Amino acid sequence: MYAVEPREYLAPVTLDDALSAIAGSDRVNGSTLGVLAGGQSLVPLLRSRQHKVDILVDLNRIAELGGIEPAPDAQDRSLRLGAMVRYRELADSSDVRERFTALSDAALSVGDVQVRNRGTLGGSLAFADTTADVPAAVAALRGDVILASRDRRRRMPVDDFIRSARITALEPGELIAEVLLPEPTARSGSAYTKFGITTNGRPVVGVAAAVALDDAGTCMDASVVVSGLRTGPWRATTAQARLVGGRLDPEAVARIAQAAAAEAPVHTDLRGSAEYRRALIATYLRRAVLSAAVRASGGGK
Amino acid sequence: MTTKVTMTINGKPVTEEVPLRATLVDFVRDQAGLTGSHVGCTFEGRCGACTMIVDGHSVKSCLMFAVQADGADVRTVEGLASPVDTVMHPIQEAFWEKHGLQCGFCTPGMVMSAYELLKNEANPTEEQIRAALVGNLCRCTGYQHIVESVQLAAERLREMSTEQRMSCFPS
Repeated sequence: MYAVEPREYLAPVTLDDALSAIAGSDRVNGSTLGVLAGGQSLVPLLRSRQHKVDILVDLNRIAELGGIEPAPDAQDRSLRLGAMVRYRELADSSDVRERFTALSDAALSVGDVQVRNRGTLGGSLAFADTTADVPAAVAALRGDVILASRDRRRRMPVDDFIRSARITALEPGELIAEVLLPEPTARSGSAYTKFGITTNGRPVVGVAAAVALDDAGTCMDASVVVSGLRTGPWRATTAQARLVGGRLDPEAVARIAQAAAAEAPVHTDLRGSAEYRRALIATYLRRAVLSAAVRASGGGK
Repeated sequence: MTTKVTMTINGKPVTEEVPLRATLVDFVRDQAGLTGSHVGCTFEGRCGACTMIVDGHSVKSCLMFAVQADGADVRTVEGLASPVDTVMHPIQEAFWEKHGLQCGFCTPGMVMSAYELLKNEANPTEEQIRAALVGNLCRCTGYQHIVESVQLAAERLREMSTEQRMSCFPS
């Protein structure tokens, strides 16, 4: 099917021009403005006419929204990723693969080669679909987003940015400009693992975990976020608290994962029942934490 | 509303007025007249039959508007056989020899996904081949012959000189 014909298509080459384009008051009310990142979610919505836009602002020609490099502020020990970084780039980047492995796991688990060649980090966060993989990984890595508008820039944790499924803190006139991931400590590791109905399918449940160990192998910090739930990325705070201070042996982690599954805000839909989701969380949370622990102690990738 | 778009398709510049809502595959099929790329699922981006290479990377051309490809280098299945003597590309030869198709509807997309894989990976494992084809659905073959086709193509390409091999991947 054809999308409803937009009235206007804008392809700015600078972020300032994009922000000016979306700042005009007549362009932000209602659903008339469409911001096009990788298009792997938006274009099907436009073509199926579940969504229609009068003005389409395409971010694909803005070079400053790309790039993976150390944050320009040296005080800020973070990796900076432009919002238009594509899944393929996340998976190919040795910085991401070596130190933010959960994010390369998540990026590689999205869809297929063609989708990964187009879909973007910022697009996934802004769309905040319940079945997205990348937001949970960014949250587990305690990432921040930088939101830009014509008049200001603000920074907030991804945990606060995604309020619930498809609801974010983005205000009219704002775009995600970049994502900042804090550099992990020496013995750290992370992983994302999921269950989808088809190969690389959307997660019925996915789990991103990041852990830091001390020299004796005791867990000093744990961050665990579940994807696939209606709440949006769900942080397993009780499990995190129970992981810290202990050794991450399989039996202990399995018990903690069971308990997390029991308290998770699961739901039933066509892709799985609430009980099935609990069973999946118990298994996949255990796997994600153990895989992160193996990576933290220097084994495997 | 239409807008003027210029892109290079299979090495030839094409300029046309396009509606904003036209996708790249609409443009390539209906305006550039290259109907080798197919549209299977119509708007969901699931089937992969419209896969083409845009600026060096495979995309589902139904998930991209034609205006977005302004200035781009596009390669479709029509751009694989030699333009001089119409000799088939090694990937096409291999699909033919190994019966990598039955009805043929998915084939242009399969071939372009195989192109993307073999451009970057000379000696893929079966697992890598299957992973590279996740975005392409086939309802006839059960995939086994497609995988064997890609394996044969990889083998033939490995036997070539570097220069010959490079000439098989212009985009």
